[in-house]
Amino acid sequence: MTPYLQQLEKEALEVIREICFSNRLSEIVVFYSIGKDSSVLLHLFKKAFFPFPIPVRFMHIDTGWKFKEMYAFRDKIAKQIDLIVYKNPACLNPYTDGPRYTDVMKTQALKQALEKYNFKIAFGGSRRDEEKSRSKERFVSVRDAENKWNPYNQNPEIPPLYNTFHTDKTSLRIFPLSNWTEVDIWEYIKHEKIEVVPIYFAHERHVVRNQSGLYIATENDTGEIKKVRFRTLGCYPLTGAVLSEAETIDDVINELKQTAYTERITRVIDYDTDFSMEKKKINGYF
Amino acid sequence: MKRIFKVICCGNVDDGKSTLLGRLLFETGSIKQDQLEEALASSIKTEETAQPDFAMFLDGLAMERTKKITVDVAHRYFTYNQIRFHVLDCPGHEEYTKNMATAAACADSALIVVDATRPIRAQTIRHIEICAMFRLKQVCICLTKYDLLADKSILKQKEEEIRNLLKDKDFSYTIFPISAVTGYNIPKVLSVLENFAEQSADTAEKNQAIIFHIQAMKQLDGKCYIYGKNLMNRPIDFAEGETFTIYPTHQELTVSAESASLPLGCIQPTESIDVNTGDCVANCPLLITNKFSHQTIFFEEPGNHLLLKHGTKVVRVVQLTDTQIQTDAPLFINNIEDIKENGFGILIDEITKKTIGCCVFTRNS
Repeated sequence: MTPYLQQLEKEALEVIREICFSNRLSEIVVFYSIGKDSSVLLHLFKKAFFPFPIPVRFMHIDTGWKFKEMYAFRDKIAKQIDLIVYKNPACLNPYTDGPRYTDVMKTQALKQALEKYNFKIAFGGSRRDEEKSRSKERFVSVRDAENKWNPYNQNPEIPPLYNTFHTDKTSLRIFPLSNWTEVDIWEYIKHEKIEVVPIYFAHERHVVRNQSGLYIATENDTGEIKKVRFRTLGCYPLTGAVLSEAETIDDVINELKQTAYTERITRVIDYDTDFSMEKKKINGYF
Repeated sequence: MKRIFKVICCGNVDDGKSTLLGRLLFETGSIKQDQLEEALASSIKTEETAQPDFAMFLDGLAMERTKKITVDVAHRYFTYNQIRFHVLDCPGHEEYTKNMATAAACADSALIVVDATRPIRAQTIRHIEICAMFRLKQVCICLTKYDLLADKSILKQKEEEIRNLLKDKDFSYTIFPISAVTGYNIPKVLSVLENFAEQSADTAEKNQAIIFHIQAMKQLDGKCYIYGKNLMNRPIDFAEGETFTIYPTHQELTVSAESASLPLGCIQPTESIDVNTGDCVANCPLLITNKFSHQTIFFEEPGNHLLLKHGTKVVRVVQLTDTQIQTDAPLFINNIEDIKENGFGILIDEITKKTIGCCVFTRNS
């Protein structure tokens, strides 16, 4: 492993162990989105506690609208870890419910799930380079009683001297991959031979082009067949594909080193309003 | 790619920190098309320039953009000549000094920007003091807004003033004018940072110290696994047969052959030993003490119940004066003058659990 990647791994392992060893395990959960960052996070959890099993639970906030390849992958992973699947019974539809969909099915669902299981500490695979408000995040990020983030008055942090405490009125979000970039994630996946959902690699698929990008075809509009891959994975009506020939991890890494766009361009939800992510995070989104 | 090099950018509000870092990101090809379009849309453009406001690449919060100030540290990454830079854009505003101080505490070096067109401000001096407090070794002083300076002869005088400020500090530094807007001397900033990174990598390579603070000890099938974090900012490769001292017991720990196949931050000693969370394993001398000469930056007014966290150990503060901290149990430290990485801790309010200060352990003066 290159020294810089080893430094990133060391930093992530340290924060995972420090949080888990200094808090009650029953109040800790790891958010698992089935994506590449979650795959890396899961791998790091296995390494952090080796040779012991992972001592905390994982949770997937389902919307019912993920790619079928993601569900197949999740079911396979569920055999290795203690995985909770939570879905907001409201069951909104991304095609017809507009911006409310993300709020209800993701943000509200996340808060309901935390409350239901009484989790006070939640790990996530978010990275600072993903989005402009995330570039301001802490490794250990405090949320208030309503799970809200206050970006204008964050707890001061000096890694690796993490403040692992919370009170009755606060909870914590932990981001061990804070300093990783998209390319770092793929370099690490390659080095550690981590399995990811196959649609991250180029494949032929029916897609429809609309003003914000290429989306998978529906029953009403079968579109055209293109060779595409997905840079990020989420709900399929909201996740754009990119035209790509990258069939292997090396191809993906080469493609990313040359691409003119960031990965968030393929996510509709980040672009619905200015400072959309900041507002969502303030309201309790991961 | 070599190791990661962490650089803070600090200085007074409005002197051009975010603009400089934005320019560095832009010049190193680290800004993607969609980020550029977004920054252009948020920038106020004049007729002569079609370029974006470079600060927009850093100031990512809504209020930062409307008020045109940086509130909290932005973390960005770029690669230049095979070196991975992690840049931390600090707020210049006095109210947000806490965010600058926390960034300085974990940085390898600093870019200090000083507006060449204005008198030196109190916050510039304060930031220099904080860089010195955390023993940053290399700093690059950028006299910004060179393009707006009508009378270039002022530069000499400005340089002299800054050299005076740095006279009693233990920095190796370089100082020159730049303009982030026109790009003047931007390549020079990059080459200075590259030199800093190389010198720092050489020093790190020569430094064999390992200070491993224990997070937990677990047993399985009669074997003992010790998990911890090495503060010496590099991954540890525990070699078979290497010996370490355990603090506070002064027992000896010998690394087993199996350790080589364990993940980073985990060692297996050759025989079972008695260690606890908060103990320390090191190959260099540490001080075992509960009385510290200190210099502390408070992020807010300290309450009556304080905890001090250092390494992986949390103790109660029983007495706090301007010069001394006394705790209810010993910590395993070095003075910041000797080993920077093991020379500071954080103060936590026992009731609110907020981090309310950062203290560096200093030699008795």
